[in-house]
Amino acid sequence: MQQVAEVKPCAAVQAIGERTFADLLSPLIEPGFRLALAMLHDPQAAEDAVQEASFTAWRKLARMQDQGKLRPWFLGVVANKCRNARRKKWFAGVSLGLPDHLSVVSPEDRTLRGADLRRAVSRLRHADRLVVVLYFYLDMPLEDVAAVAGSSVGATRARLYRSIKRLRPDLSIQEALR
Amino acid sequence: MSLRRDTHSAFDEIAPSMAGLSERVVQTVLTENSSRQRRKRLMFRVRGPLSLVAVFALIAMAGAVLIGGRMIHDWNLFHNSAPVGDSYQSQVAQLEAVPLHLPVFASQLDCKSGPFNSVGSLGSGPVYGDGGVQSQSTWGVYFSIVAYADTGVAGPILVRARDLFTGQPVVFVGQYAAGPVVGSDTFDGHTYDQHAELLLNTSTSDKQAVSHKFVWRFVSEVPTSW
Repeated sequence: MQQVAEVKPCAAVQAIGERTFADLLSPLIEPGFRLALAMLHDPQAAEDAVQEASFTAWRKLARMQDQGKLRPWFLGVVANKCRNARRKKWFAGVSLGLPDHLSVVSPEDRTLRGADLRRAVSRLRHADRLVVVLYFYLDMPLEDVAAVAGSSVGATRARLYRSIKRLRPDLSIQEALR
Repeated sequence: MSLRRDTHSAFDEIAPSMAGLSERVVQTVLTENSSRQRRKRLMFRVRGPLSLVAVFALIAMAGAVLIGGRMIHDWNLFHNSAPVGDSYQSQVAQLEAVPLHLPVFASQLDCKSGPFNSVGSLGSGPVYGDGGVQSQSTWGVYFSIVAYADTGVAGPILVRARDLFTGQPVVFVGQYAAGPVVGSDTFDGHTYDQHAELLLNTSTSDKQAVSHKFVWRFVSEVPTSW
């Protein structure tokens, strides 16, 4: 049996250094937060997800052979944290997305449309929602979206098209992609 | 308005100011990391013959991993060799005799969570898992797990798990813990035997008639020496 009183930081991560870690991670926090926000629709939960992803990055950054892949990797970690956050909410019986009555009581058409779109996005499955958010909200090219989603470009494109049809059945793919 | 503009508008409406966010997040990592418990990347392996119910599933908790191809291969091998009509105990013994072959990952980039089913549970079926509450003891971290399977499943399901980076075995305590006792741990005033295996049986599950599923709730533990 083994007893460990305190977990020590990974030696490899220590080798990277706090300043380097901050320099590498800081530019990724905002896109990570926007991704989490669009996935979770809850600013506090989004920040929690990014924070957790950043702890993961601290532990694992040194293991990355190619730090050029840091951005898609980090966003992928954020996406996983969002999936876990939604699952925890599901376990706790907390509903997700905006309340249904919001679009009814709001007087402003733009707010109505935004609320409806957020609700529609929240009802997509995790993998579909991730692709939609990365492509339409983070404005990432399809190749990068595929890297974050851990899928091929072709499969990601097909998933994106299917998701568009679910979000806007009346819209052609070409119109939606503009 | 395009879908892209609509999406920006819809989410920018609910986005708070991000001023200072990067600094806050990074600083929190640097100041709190040493006091945090590392997450474990775990993998469970679930096997059994189809006549018994052969199942493979790698259920992982907190950054878990699932590797399918090798498991399918092993599962098929086992399924083809499973004699019909054996007693339950002999079926279990056959399952235990199958060696646990797992890959070792050097880089986190090679190690991806999944696959997940349509409701977000881990596994490719017919058994799926969801991670739950974590608790810390001096020995390791306890994970409360829920596994479930469709009611078409029958027979024993053997679960073994190992950390894919350290190779250290994951242990099980409580009702469904099985196999050799490999240690013990005291948690919340109680001492628990740690077993190397988990044995799930459809006859001992918490069958949920409404959802037509077998459900098992169990606890696994991972050492903190990662």
